[in-house]
Amino acid sequence: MKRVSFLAAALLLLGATPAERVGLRFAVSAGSAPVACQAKIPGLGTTRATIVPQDLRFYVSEVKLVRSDGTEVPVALDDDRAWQAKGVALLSWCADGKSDVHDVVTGTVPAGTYRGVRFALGVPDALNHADATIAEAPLNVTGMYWSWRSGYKFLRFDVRSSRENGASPSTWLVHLGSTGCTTASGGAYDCRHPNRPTIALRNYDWHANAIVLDVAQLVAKADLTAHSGGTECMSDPSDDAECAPPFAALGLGAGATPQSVFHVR
Amino acid sequence: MRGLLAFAFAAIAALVLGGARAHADDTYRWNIPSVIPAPLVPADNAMTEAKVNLGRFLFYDKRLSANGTISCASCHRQAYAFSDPRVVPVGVTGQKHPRHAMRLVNVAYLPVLTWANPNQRALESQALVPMFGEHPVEMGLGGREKQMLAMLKADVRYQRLFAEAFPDQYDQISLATVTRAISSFERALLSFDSPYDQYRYGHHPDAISAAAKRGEGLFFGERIDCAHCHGGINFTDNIAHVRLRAPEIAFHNTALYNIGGTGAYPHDNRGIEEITENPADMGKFRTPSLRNIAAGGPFMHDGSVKSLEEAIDHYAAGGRTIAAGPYAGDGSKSPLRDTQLRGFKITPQERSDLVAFLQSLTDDKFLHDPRFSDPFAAEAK
Repeated sequence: MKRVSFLAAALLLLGATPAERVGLRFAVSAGSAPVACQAKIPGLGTTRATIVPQDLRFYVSEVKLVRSDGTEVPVALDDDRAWQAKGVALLSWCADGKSDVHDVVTGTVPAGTYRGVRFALGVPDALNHADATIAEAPLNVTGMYWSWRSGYKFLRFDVRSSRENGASPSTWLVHLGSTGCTTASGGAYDCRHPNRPTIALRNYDWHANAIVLDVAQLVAKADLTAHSGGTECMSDPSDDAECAPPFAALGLGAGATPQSVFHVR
Repeated sequence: MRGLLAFAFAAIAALVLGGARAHADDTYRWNIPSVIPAPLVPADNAMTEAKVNLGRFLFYDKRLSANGTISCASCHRQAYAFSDPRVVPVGVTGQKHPRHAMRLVNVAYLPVLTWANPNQRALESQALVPMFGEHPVEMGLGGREKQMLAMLKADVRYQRLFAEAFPDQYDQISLATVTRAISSFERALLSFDSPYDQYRYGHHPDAISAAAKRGEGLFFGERIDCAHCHGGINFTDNIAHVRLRAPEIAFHNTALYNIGGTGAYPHDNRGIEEITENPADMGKFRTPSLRNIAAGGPFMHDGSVKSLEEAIDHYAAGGRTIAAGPYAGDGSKSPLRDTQLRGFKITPQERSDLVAFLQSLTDDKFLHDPRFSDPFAAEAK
């Protein structure tokens, strides 16, 4: 068995299908405006709130490029022990209140012409519940730990918000991750709500385009100033008022419609 | 050969039991009476005196929080059975925790930790919740582990303590070793020397009062039967040790709330339903040990019961009635009430006897044991 996979690898290296290095660029925006850590963004959500990002990071995995004929080809992600390992990559713009930008996913694919991209927003279940204290980077980032849920936050978007008319600022948090997870014996977990949306985008050429997360779309139907004490969507299905708007935008939840948060630019 | 076989067997056992769990530790001298079976430890964190000693310093070190104001011991205070006399603890940002701080007594015997999370099965991973959690913020270390580890690496004492505790570890001062040492200290917090232990296991017939002896009869008797859930060596139906075939795990809805007649609990304290998302799990919390209970109030998961008398009255009524307000409801009519909770009649005399019994579970030596005390305070003297 080992010999077979070695042979396959050797064939690949010998140029049966030459490999191509790729870099998938990501970006964040608020509509057409740029997004930066601690920089005010006006006019978001149903109450046109002004927000200041405190944290904006997410994991992607199962990254695939799509050929013109629809064939999906997995991208073998580089293992750089910093931002990428075991097929998981962390993308970051704002970490714990400080600017920390990493916006590219690198790897290899068989050479070819690709017209689309697919990825999962989150950490695969097989890695999501392991011992975080001894995990490799980027799964050792404590700001993305979600220990009370025995996993990781897949997407973290923390903001301070205020109405433009000057009401007192409050916080608004979205922590996306798997919930309803149980394990019979401390081994494999089964999650009622994996909350790991697959994002599929067409008309994408990695040479020319970026994959954009639009925070204005993520919070379009949310009231970012609803509670003076702050609003939290902790992916809890019973926190419907807080989670329904961002979840619907991500294509999650009952009667899900296609996601509207990511687009190609 | 025999060593190899034993190793292979241990490896298989570790695999079967799910990685690093459930493993007898024959090398450490547990401070327990001979009648008490030894606890289990994770296969990758054997007990040593050096780890316990390091863990004690870390447990009491306020520099393990975002603003240097809170250590583990701030909310787990020895004199209160490593609990907190406040109704609920408060984190570094001023945020209140929805639940009362659990007592840390004989936690080495628990197969599941915390009030209401069936997935928290090891102290090593549980420690990450107060350190790094944001829901609520407790010690507030999220994203600050580099500064914390730099502080530990720069401290001459910690350099020595980590070297002694983890001599063969490649990354000697790391999150993995910090959490393992704290867990080892917590496992060393063993209490089996209460007056009741001396009476029952130590053959000292006069170690407890006549009232406590009458209370013992009520506690274990069929009518009141506290021991149905609070039974066994640790006075809880959650237990694991070397002589058990399999760990026992139990969560119960004790009818403290019945909001709107649906059995609902307050939103931030829904029990394991928050984790399992199974509606039948609403209001189910892990049975706490009653060892040192009299030192560890207020009581219940949210600290909403002020005294042992009030707790007994709650169980006698078979549920708590809240007359008005957002949490109004008659607990005794909750559709989710545990089937064992049926209420009982109890006289004032019996109630005070039962309290006397519960007080006999207070192990004063444990509450004042210098090995478990604040090492920094000892130095300041």
